[in-house]
Amino acid sequence: MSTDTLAATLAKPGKYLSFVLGREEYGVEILKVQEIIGIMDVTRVPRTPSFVRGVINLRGRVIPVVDLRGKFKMRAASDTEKTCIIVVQVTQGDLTVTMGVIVDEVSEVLSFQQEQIEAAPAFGGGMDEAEYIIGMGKLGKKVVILLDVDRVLKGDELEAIALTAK
Amino acid sequence: MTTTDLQSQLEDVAQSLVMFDRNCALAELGSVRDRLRILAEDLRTFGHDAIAVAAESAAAIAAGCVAEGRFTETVVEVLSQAIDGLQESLGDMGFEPPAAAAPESAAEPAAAAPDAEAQDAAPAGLELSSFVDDAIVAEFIGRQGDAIGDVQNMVLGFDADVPDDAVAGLKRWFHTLKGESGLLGLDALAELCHVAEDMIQSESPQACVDRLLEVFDWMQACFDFLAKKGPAPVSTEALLVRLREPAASPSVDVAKADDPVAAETETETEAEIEAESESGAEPDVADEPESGPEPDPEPEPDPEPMADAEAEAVAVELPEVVLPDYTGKNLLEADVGLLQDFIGEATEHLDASEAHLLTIEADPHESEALNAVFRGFHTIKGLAGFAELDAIQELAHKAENLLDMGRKGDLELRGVYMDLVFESVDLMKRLVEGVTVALATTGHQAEVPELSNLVARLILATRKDAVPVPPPAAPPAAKPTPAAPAGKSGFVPLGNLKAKAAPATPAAGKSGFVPLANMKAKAQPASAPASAPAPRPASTAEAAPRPTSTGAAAAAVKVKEAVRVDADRLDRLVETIGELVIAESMVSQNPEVRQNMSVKLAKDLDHLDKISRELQEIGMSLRMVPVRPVFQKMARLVRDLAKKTGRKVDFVMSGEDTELDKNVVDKIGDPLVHMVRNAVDHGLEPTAEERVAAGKSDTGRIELRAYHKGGNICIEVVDDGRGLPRDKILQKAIERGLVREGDQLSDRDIHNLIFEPGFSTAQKVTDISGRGVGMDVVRRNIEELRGTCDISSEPGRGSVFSIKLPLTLAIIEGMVVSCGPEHYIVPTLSVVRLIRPSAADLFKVFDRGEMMTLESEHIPLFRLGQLFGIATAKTDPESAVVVVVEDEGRRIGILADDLLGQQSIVIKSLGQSMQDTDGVAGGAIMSNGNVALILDVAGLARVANHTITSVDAADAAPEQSA
Repeated sequence: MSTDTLAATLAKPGKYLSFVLGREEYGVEILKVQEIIGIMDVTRVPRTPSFVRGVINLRGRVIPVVDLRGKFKMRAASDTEKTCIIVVQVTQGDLTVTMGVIVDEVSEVLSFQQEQIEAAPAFGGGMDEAEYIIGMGKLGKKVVILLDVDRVLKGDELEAIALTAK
Repeated sequence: MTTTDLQSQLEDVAQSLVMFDRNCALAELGSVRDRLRILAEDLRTFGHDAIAVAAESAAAIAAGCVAEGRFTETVVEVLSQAIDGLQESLGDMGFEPPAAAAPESAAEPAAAAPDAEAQDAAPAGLELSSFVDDAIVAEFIGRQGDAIGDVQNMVLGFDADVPDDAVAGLKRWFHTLKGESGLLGLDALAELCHVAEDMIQSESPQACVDRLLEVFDWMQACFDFLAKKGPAPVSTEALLVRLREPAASPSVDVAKADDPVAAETETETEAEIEAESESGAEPDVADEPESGPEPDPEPEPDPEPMADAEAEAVAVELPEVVLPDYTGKNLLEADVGLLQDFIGEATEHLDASEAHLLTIEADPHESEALNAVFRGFHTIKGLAGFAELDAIQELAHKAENLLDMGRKGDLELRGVYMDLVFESVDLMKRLVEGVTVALATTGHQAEVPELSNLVARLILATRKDAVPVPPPAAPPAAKPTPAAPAGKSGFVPLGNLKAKAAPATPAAGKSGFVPLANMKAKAQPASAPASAPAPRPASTAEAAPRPTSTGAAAAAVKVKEAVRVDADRLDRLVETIGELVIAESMVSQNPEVRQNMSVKLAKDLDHLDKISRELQEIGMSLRMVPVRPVFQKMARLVRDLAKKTGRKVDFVMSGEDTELDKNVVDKIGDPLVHMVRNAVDHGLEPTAEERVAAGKSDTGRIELRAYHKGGNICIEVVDDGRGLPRDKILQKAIERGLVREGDQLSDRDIHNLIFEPGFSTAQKVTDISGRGVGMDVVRRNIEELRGTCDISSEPGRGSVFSIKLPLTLAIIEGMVVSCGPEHYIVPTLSVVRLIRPSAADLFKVFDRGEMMTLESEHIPLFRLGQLFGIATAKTDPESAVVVVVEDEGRRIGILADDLLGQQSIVIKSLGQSMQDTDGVAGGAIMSNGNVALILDVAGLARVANHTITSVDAADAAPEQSA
């Protein structure tokens, strides 16, 4: 097992919701997921970082929506029928915040045993996004990149960017 | 053995109970138990089984107490009640078979006794009968609790004019309450009502006002106790005595001064009070001489002048401080609800102050934090004054003095001074805690020995600087150890000693008296329902009409049905209704539905639309409550203030049924207190002569009104006093550098200067007002509620302070504008006008800063599309609209594509991460289910300036001409 310091904790074994971004498959802990909804009109909020798509109305609640492609600095793609918003509950400090993340496609719920999870590979200093990875899940030939969604959607980071945008 | 024999046996038992003395109580109780057992056996032999059961259960109670080796007065009372019931039943035996009375009246004490033993503190006469359902009690408390407010209000009106039907209504209300409380077994309450009824009957209504208010206070405490919201109220004994004796003269002050009871209060030593509180585990130390609930008639001992004089005479020695006697006051006899409010608010303010103080310590020039601490202390002072917590008021006042000097820059808050402030906060916390403890236990605040020392040091600190002595000289004098005030601390142990020496005596003499009085009162209610089947002559006038009077009088006092609901649930309901309305409009606006619309479908959809709209309206109204309770508090405040300042004031209120969001009503109390205080203390002329000289009646008039105006609620405090001293304000403002000499200011601008923090024209700072904090509090609180405040005043005629508030916090009226594909909402409150500009009105400064001419005024114009980076926004101003908005007196134009309409919208937060986005105040869900953003006008102006200056080099032209 690698002792790379970039990923603070290794992903725990258990169930993960897997989704597709570009050609890769990613996974988030199923316990963080509240629901999955189809893509809908998103109201753009001015003066926010580009990866913040805007806000949506989730049954009367206004929640922010983050474009994961933008967050991971991947090439932007137009929405398709398969584009989904995964509504997750992330922990920010002592608060639980509901947020949406836009992904290309939601695939399935996967179960990983301890031995199926490997530590994240080291990428050197060239990729900041690697810190969101908490492990690589292996299922036969398939490799699923497991993400720490709390860290991806860390509030102060969003805010910090929002402030610099001013 | 005959019935007569049995009766004489009973008589004996009753007598020994009456003669009960605590010291030999247990032996006595044993004999009572034995006699009761014998009695029960005798009864059985005579075949009066039902009564025998009652006697046996009474014996069992006595036996239980003997076995446990302790008893309470409640038990004695319960026993006497039981014996009373037995006597009644025996008396009736000649004419009828043993009534159900005995078992019932006995069952009641039997059930009550363990209860009473469990919670020693339950005061006599306030245990609920065992057969009473909780729901009934809750209903009773809810209904009568609300009614008290109304009735109290009516009584407050008696000062001016007493309509006949009001007195009749009052009597009816007391009567109903008496009946109902008797039914519930709340004998103390019933008795109080009865005595109050007598008083109204025999005296003029005006003369009873004060005592009636006390009665209401007690009842409120009693209801709070029953609702498990407050501690047990104290005994009514002292109150009853005062109700029974007619007032010597209509003027209360005189009456109180003659009152030997009140006089005793003054002379009573602390030691004795401590003795009471030490020994009295239960609050019903019946005729405790110091009659707390009466509003202190004497002018409050103001220690300041004396202390100040001392300080001057002995420059380095600590000044002698005479503190108000706060330990002697029984808080349980005061307005408990008010005190609880006080505790909550004071704690909040103190915590906030502490945080601010730390900021100040880091940077002594942090004036915003200093102002905040100052405001905190000021509010505490005000509240404490209102709650009659003189010691806390005193400390707050002194600490405020020190802070004020720091605020004015007369001294730097660091080192010793800072320590002093911190100490004040700490001590204040302890005092507030003391109040909490007092409320939970005996009602007496514990002595805080350091208090006088600290107050003395505070005085010294503020003195020191007035006489210019270098601050370093102060520390040795100002920092003695807390143990220094030997006079005080030496006093305490003595009191304790005495208390321990004679713990049993104070209550001893009374215990015989109390049950006797209660027994009489109880005899009727206990027996009446039981013997109802017998054609008993209506010997007790008040017992007979009870069943019918309940309904009749209930109609007289307005009854409102209410269900208490968890606020969260309510919010969820309102939210869900909102979703329903949106879903409904989504369906009916759906193009597919519209295409195939049949007449029937159209009709049905209309119906659905109507229902959902109605539902939404109901949903919105759920959170609305009338402002009445807050107004009623003000009525009391005006009355107290008028007494304190010696002014005659006529208080009129109108529109108290106006409804506001619950959150708003909760928060409006604080600013209103300040406004009303101001009106009484500053608005009205200090003396009646001055008023008469100005050609006005000698009684000042303060009016409080609320009304709807264009989707807002207006609340106004109107006085007919001197009006604002325009020139003085202007002069002061120039002194403080708020305005420059020669500035052109309208009257309104000048009047609004008094909202500035620390602004005051008062030469003298009184404990009511004068420091210029109050108005700052008003403005801040109102702004928090998204309201505005305004003053208009006419010299010599009076002033009007008005607050304009939105109906609710959650809903605003907004104009929907479009810009490219996006929709935005501008709060209607800030919109001045909408115009379609003509090219002639527009011009540019340096080819960048766009301006437009509006009625010969030039205002900066910002393009929304540009600010928010919307590429598809219209670029030709002539085909677009300009929304002219106003923020803090500045006007700016916002260019948007089109105006889509106006609607009320529910404000939704954008969540933590986007809360601080400049130019956006929140989101709202539109009828198509999408989110539209609400524009924040002030933020937008900031964004606009920033954009312009950052795009090119500094270009302040737009702001300057604005």
